[in-house]
Amino acid sequence: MNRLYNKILPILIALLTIVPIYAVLLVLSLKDFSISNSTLSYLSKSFFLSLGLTFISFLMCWFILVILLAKVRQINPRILNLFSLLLILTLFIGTIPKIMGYLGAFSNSGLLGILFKDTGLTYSFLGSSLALFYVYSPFFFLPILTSINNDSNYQKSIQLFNASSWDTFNLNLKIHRNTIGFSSFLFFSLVFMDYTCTDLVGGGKYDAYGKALYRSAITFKEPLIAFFIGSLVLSILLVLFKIFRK
Amino acid sequence: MKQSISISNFVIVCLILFFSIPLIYLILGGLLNSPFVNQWDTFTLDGFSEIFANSSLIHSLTESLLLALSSAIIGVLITTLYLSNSLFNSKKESNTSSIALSFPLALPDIIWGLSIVFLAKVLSISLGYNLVFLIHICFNVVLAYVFLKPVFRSYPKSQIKSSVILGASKFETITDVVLPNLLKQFIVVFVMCFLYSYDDFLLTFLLGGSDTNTLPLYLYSKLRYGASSSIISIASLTTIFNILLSVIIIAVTKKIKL
Repeated sequence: MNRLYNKILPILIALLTIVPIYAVLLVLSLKDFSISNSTLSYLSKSFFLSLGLTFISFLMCWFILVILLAKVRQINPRILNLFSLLLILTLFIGTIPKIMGYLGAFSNSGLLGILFKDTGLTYSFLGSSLALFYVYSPFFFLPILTSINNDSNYQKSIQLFNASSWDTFNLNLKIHRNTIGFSSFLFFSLVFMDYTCTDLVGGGKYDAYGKALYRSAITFKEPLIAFFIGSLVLSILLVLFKIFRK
Repeated sequence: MKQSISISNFVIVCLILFFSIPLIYLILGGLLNSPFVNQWDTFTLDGFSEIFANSSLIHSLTESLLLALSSAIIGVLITTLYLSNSLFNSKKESNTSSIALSFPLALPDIIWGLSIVFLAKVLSISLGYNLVFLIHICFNVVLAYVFLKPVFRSYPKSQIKSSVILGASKFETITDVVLPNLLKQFIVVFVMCFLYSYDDFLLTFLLGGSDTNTLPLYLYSKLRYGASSSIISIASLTTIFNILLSVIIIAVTKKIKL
């Protein structure tokens, strides 16, 4: 009885999350659906667009991560604490107010627009990547910063040996590889499947993969292809999740 | 050496500026009652009073608050009941149960939302507030589980045993021993669930149908046609509210180890 009780909640959650995705795929595959070439090319186009956006924002994260891991003992602890605090604050602010803030601050008529005539940080590919970085990077940096803070004794011992920046980077990468792996996975999953951020910052010019899946399923009424690709992505995520969970 | 110190500090300072400028803009925009920087003139609270004059905005705000509050309470309660059972059970939780309860955290909202939409269509379930409420409870359970599981796992078993030996029932042990000891952790997790639910856009957008109009939906629909003073005021108010709640979380977590 107790065992059954323990299973009820996981079963209910699975019924509302993972099961519908595969159930719908099964139901739809039993029906006869034709997939137009235009939808297929639209989806593949947005797939590569999202891949490009994710790659650039991922590159930004890793550029800062390399500096963090290599120079962590040289960074002023107060500055690092302030950075962590700011990341926590931005993590708890909703996506839409955050995007509003980004647009207001970095657009041509915004705060930065007063200093520079044409910032190019909104309604562009680079602007969308930067906005994705702004919205989702706290999910990447916070676990890593927490992990680094928890290893303060280790950081002190690295300092005692006066290791070079390269050695410090390599050592930190090895110590925190699990956290870095999980953070990278989480960041990739969030950025690649983004809908709102690219839509608002891109000014409707860029249909990211999340929006393309929505449009092909709801607007073009071709749910099978959307679910096929969606489930494929989900299966990859499930495998990655199982790997990084360790 | 000195140069390398300045470079690393410089990068972090730039990042601090990058993350804080949009927040400063949001707060100032509300206080100066305009989304356009060149129209910023004098500090005024008129923008905030305009919010209360806008009935549809107030309706969205109340709906968001009610949805977030009720789903967060139910979500944390269900998770607590589930995890409390593990305190009296020496058997370890199965890996499958653990994955089923924590994986949805990594599940992209768009895939999850679309699958529920189609399943609802196949099963002839109408979209609307009830479905949104159910899904919000579901992701609050997942969020609460991920954060409360380590707390329950590290809870001293000796306290539970002593309580049982002294004649307390399971329910009494949970309400009189466990809950008072973990109250701060519960507050933190509840606030996190509340904020996540309050700010959710995509799932509500996909599953809400025509009868659901939460604040993020309202902001999204208005933002597509350009920012206005009432929009910037409500965004500013939301940001200040979220920052205050985050400060509470930080203050509480500094005293406890979550």
